[in-house]
Parts: sequence; C-alpha cells; structure tokens
Amino acid sequence: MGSNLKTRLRRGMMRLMGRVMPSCKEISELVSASMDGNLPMRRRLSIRFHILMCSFCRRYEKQLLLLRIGTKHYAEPDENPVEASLSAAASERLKRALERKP
Amino acid sequence: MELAVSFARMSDDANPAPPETMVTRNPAHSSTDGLNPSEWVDAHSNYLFRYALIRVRDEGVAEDMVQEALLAAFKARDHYTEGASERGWLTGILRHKILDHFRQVGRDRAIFHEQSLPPELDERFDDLGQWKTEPPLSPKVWGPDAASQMQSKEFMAALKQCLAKLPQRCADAFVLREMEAVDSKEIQEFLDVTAANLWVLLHRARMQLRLCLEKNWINV
Repeated sequence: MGSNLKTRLRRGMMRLMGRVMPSCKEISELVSASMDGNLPMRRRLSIRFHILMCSFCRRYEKQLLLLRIGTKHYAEPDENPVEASLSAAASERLKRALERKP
Repeated sequence: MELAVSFARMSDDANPAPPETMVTRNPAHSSTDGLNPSEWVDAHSNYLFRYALIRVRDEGVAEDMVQEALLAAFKARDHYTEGASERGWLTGILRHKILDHFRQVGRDRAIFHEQSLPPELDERFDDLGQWKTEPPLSPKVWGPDAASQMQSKEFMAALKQCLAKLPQRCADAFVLREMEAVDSKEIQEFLDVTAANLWVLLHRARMQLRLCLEKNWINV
C-alpha cells in the first residue's frame, strides 16, 4: 500500500503547492534562464525553495551545470579528439596564398 | 585603441630610418616578429579547423572559416602585437569569422516556432507540470564520477551526437552561449530573435542535451 499512498499524497501536496509555487516544468525553465543572466530575487528564491524539496529538480539543475562544464571541455580543440583535418586541397591553396611575399 | 596603434605603425613604416625595435613591425620582416605565415598551415590549421568544426558542425563551412581567417590574418599581420601567442591571435580572428557566420545563418534559418517542448521532452511532466516519477522519465542520478568523465572520449562522442540531433537554431544558440560565452543580449542580435525566443531555444537545447546524454552516455 505504501508507494501508492505515498504517490497520492505527494501529488496532493504538489497540487496544493502548485497554487503558490511553480511546477517542476516551470522550474526547469527558470533554472535554464538563471544560467543566462540575473533573475529577480523572487525567482531565484522560488528556484531554491523548490529545489530544497524536489530531488528531481535538484538533479536537473546539477546536471545542467555539469553539461556546462562538459561543453567547455568539448569546445577546447586540445581536449576534444575530433578526428578531422583540413582537406589537402585547402591546405595547399592556403600555403600558396600565405607564402606570397607582400 | 587598436586604430591608434595601427596609425603609429604606419608612420613608423614611413620613417626612412626607423628605430631598431620598430623594424620588426614591418611586414617584410614578419619572420622576426613572432609571426610565420608560411608555417601557419602546418603549425595551426588542424587546431583551427577543429575549433571551427566543433562550433559550426559542418566540415565545408569549417574549412571556409579557416581559409577566410588565415587570409584575413595575413592581411592584418601588421596589427599583431608582439609577444602575443600566434595561435591565440589566429584563433581570435577565426572566432570573429565564426560569429559572423552565425549572424548570417541566423537570418536565413527558419524561425523557430515551437513555443512548447517537443513530445519527447514534454511527456516527462504530468498534467500538473511535475516530473513523472516512473524512473525512465524523471532525471536519473548520474553518479559521482560524471564530472571527471567529462573529459573522456566517450563523452565527447556522445555530446557530438546529441548536438547533431538538436534543431540547428537551438544548437547555434547553445554553441554561442556555452562554448563562446556570448552574452544573451548579443546572441539575440546575432540570431535575430527576441529574448523570449532565445530563452526557449536555450531551455530546449539544455533539456534535450541532458536527456540525450543520460541515454547515450550515462546509460552505456
């Protein structure tokens, strides 16, 4: 009985709180927005308050921040072993152009 | 500031007997002032090509960017500040070319109309907007070494795949914001979108990338 009751209780509580606080869906939008500029204090507080109680949104925020860190590594050519190089034709063309003396 | 410097150099070059330190600024002596254009292709073109490819995600476009950047750098070599890293200087010029590219495609690419999330993302929330609690639908635990694994080949491959699955405009916005750390006001201008559009683009990009990484990287 436990998990069913728990789910119903949780939903009931969330429904009640939905009137006063944003849903997970809204929080996911706000978490993203908070990474692109300063949100008003009221918004920031509502994220923090929600995240205090909601482990999914807590994970979501943490993982978006991880995504940001991972993307920084990905963006660095020395760290990202993309297997690709400038075509031979383009290299030759460029070499000729760059060897011309002014 | 830059302009003032280049004027100063122009008058130095016109001086029939420039002081010795100024001679090195003359392009005819470029091999002595830290720039070696004839070595650029061998020394830097692969790095630059990969830098561009990671961002524009198209080999043809990346190749054009590198060629344009190196030719522009060759023309502007008088503006090079001695002591700066050659690669850093070239990368800066390439970066400008890439931003210009985004500005151009920003106007061409179809406007992103979707105001709401696509079904694959939207179905993760119930009718109250709460995460559905069934495990495959809500965000999973990524484990303590997720952060340290983000320099692995596997992560790079997964993120590449996941980026390729995003709508182009979403990916463009994400690249500008997260790889180039461009300010959101500026991205709005580059991509010719409103603040609300950009908010949706970035939110969608992050949510989809997070989910895609969870499926293709965390779970393998």
